[in-house]
Amino acid sequence: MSLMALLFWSLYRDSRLAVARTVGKCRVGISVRVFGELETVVMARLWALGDNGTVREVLEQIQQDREIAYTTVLSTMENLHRKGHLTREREGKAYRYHTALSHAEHTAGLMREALSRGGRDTEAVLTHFVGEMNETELAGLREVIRRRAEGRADGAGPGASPR
Amino acid sequence: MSLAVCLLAYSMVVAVLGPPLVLSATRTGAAPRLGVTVWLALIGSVLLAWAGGAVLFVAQLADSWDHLGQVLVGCVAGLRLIVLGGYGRVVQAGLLALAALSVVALAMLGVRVVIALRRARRHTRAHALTALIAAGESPRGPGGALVIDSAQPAVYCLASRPHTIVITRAALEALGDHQLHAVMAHEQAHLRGRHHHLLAFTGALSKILPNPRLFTEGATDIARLLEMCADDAAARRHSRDTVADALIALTLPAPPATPVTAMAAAGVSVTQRVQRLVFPPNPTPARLGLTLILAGVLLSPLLTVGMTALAPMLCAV
Repeated sequence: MSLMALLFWSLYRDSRLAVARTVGKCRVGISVRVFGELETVVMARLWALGDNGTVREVLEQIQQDREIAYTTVLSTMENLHRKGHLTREREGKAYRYHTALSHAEHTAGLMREALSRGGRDTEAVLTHFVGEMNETELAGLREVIRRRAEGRADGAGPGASPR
Repeated sequence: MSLAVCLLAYSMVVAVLGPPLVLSATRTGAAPRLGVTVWLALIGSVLLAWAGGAVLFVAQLADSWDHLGQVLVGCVAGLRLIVLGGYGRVVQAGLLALAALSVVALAMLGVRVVIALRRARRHTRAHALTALIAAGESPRGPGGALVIDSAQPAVYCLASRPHTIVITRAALEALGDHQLHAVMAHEQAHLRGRHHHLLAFTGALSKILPNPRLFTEGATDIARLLEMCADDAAARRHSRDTVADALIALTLPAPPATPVTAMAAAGVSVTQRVQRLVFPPNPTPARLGLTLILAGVLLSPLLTVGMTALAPMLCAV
């Protein structure tokens, strides 16, 4: 009987923990956690601080705008470190985090990954509105534009003109 | 046994004859959605034929292990002599190895596709995070798009949770209001139509199996046709001319900005897309051709099965 009770209790506790964990993941202060939102805020504050800072410094920056827990900032920064966006070095008992790239470099890197060879350098699935074009294709495009303009000049209206 | 051989033959015929036929039917981009369907039918039927062939092969082998000689008679008459002539064990071992190899190869293909898809998802998510960080705390653009401070005109979308549309400052400046809405409608059509799932799958398949060319050519053409589907969706809400103008504005920006040119890889042809928006091609021949191909791909296995059921010798000769 007591074994059963123990079992139920542990199940109950596990479920409570799971709920607490989910809630912890989903909520930051009072706002609902959105993918990448905290990471974005932390990186922006670090760049504003001159590309480096401790968890405490970032926390104080963010706390000027909203309530946030130290551990939330800490785990976000550890995540960013794990994903390669931050490097860190020991400073006394804490770490000092450095941004791996400046904001401009980060943006340039993003664009390089997204644009080079039509996004083929990354395994991310991107769908571009326009891809890269070579000179032949550009000449073809100019030809289409010219014929379209002719069609309009003839009064046939756009799209109505045969080739 | 003969049915397995027939399935293999069918898959080879589809893989060799299919791509050039579909490519010629989808060239003008007159019926992009049907084109995608036919490509998927081709790819799917080849994969299914492989799986079905392997299953039948193994099943029949297991079923007739003790009287292999009589089974082989229908399929390859010559083998029967070898089996009866005392080489039975060698042939049995060979067939067993063949069956095992085909099953292992198919299983590996499946596993590699799953791994590639998971990798793609991880990379997409990482890219989405990088884009979010790059956009920083700057205000969102139209439709909740992330605005990146870059002088290169670019618009693209990422299917992660949540879906992300990325637009650069240069693209925002190059586009008029109507064009911008058309571009957003285009990207949202990609996301709503779950085009990323198709692209991820065909992309993974084409990297793992560059031969037969069905998979690589299919992946490239499906990407092109999906762009056209999204163009059509945007054109329904705005107008064909607005979408064409947006394409032109991003490809040939007003000087001093330079056009997006010259990388070796074949991007999805903007010229073709503008052409078909401005001068819509007649969809009837494309629809007819694609429907015929689709009918051929779907009906021929039924015919084959029917024929083998009626006259096993027909296929086995």
